Amino acid sequence: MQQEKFSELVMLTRKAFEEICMELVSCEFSPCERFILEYPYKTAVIIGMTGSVNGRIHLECDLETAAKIALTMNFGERFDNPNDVYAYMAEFANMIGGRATTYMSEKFLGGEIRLTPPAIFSGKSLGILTPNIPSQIVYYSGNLGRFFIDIGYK
Amino acid sequence: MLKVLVIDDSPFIFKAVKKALENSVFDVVDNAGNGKIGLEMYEKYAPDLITLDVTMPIMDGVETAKALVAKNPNVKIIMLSAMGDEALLSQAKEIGVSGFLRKPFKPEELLNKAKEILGV
Repeated sequence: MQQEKFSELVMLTRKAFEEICMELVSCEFSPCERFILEYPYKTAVIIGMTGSVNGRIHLECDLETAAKIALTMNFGERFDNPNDVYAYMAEFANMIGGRATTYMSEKFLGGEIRLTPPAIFSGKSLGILTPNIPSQIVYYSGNLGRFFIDIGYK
Repeated sequence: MLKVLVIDDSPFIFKAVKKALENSVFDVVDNAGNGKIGLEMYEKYAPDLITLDVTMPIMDGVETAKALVAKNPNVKIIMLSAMGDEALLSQAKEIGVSGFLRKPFKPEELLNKAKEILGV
């Protein structure tokens, strides 16, 4: 993929992330310096894109941040089922992926782009790698916590 | 009360639809986690309105909308999707979907759209 198009796709994904955070949980996440998540339990959500753009968005944060995001999405109400935090994070990522594909479709004059259902991973000392796909990691910080997004397109 | 069925794999969307539509003329009766279950629940509840997600496992929203319209050409569906590209919008219109909202939606947007579609 041309570097220019790759940079454009990354920029549109970042724009989608920032907007959804603002609209959904009223939190302004700003790009920040590289960091290592300190909380031992992490949550990662991966959304794939197929069609005229092929790639994936990998969002990762510590479980504490995920719980804060999910609680805010849940109108501040506690969950009956603690596993709902993961389902809420999946929807959060789905909205980011959906907004990003909408922008990509507009930018690159149509072409059908579809999302795969989100895959959620959680655990201690979690590490996810996707070889053979050019990607860029962006680090974000906001009052609900810290995220990194690994954005890959081929 | 007008019955609303939610077909969406996200418990968050079910809750958001309930928050938006309840305390009005609507009763949100149930949530189906995919299109296949949604079709079964459609038979069970005979809802006045369906909110339908697009990206779901087993049977997605586009296939589900086609199946619902085949069962009842007058079925009222609001498609709720994180994606909002022109290709999807025109496909939804072609199938016979009554309305389309992008996620995340504001509660009043969904309420107004539901009222407009059902003429209440």
